[in-house]
Amino acid sequence: MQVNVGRQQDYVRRLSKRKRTLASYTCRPSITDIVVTNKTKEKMEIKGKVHCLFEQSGTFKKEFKKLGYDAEDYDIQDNFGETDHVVDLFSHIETAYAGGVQRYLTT
Amino acid sequence: MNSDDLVMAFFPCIYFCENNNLFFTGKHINLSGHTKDFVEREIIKRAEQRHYLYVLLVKLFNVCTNRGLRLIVENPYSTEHFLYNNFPYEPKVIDRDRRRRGDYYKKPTQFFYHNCEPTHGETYTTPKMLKRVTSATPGIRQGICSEERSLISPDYARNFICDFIIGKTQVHSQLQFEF
Repeated sequence: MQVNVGRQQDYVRRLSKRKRTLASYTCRPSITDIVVTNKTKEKMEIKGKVHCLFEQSGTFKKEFKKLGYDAEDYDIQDNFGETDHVVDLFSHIETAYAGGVQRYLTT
Repeated sequence: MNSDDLVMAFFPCIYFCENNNLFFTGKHINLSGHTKDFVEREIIKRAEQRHYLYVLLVKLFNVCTNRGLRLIVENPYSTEHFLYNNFPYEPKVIDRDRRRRGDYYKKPTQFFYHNCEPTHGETYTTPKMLKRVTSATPGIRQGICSEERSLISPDYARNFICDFIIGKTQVHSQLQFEF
C-alpha cells in the first residue's frame, strides 16, 4: 500500500497547529518551567523554628513569620540592620561537623 | 536545633556558577592584561576557595544527616553549575523561571531537600518589576556577588514557601483550565 507522505505531513502540520492553538488558551505554564521530584501531598509540619542561613535569608524569614512560623536568620553581615544573629556560619558548620558543641547547629 | 526545625540555607554560589569556568580557562575579563604568573596564581586561589566552599557544603549536609535536621539548600541552576555533576545529592525542585512566581529575575534555581520532601503548588504572580542579571550593579569586589543580583522578591519567597515547603493553597492561586 502506498503511503501518501504529502497528505500525512499536512495532517501532522494541522494537528500541531491545533495543539498549539489549544495550548494558547490554557493558563497552564510550560511543563518545563518547574521540575519537582519526589513531591508529596503531605504538608511539611514545622513545629519548631525556621532557621534561614546566609544572604537573602531575611526575605524568607519575614515571609515565614507572616505565615505564622517562628523564624530567625543568620548571616556574617548585617547590611540592613535586620539580621537576628550575626555569626560566622562557616566556622559554626566546621565545628558542628567536628562534633563540637555550638549554639546553633547542634541538638 | 532539632528535627522539628527547618534549616533553609542560601549557600554562597559565587564559586560554583558557570562564570567560574571562564575564570579557570584564564580568559575572564578580570584576568585580562595580567601576566601569566598572576593568572595562574589567581586560578590556584580560586580553585582553593571553591574547594573550601564545596567541602563546607558537604559538611553541612553531613551534620544534618547525622542529627536528623531538615535542610533546604538553594543555589542557581544550570548544566554548567559545579554541583550539577559533582554533588552526591540531586535537586528536588528546579525552578527555571522565577518570574512566574513573582520574582524580579528569571534566574533558574535549584533546591536541594534533605530529610524532607517538597510539595507542589501552582501559585503564579505577576512580578512587580522585571530585572535583568546583566543590568544589575556589580559586586563590590571580585568574589563577592552583587547584592542587587541576589535579591529575592517577597512575593516569590511567599509563593515558594506555600507551593514547595508547607503545601498551602493561597487565595489568589490562578485557576487551571482543563481541556
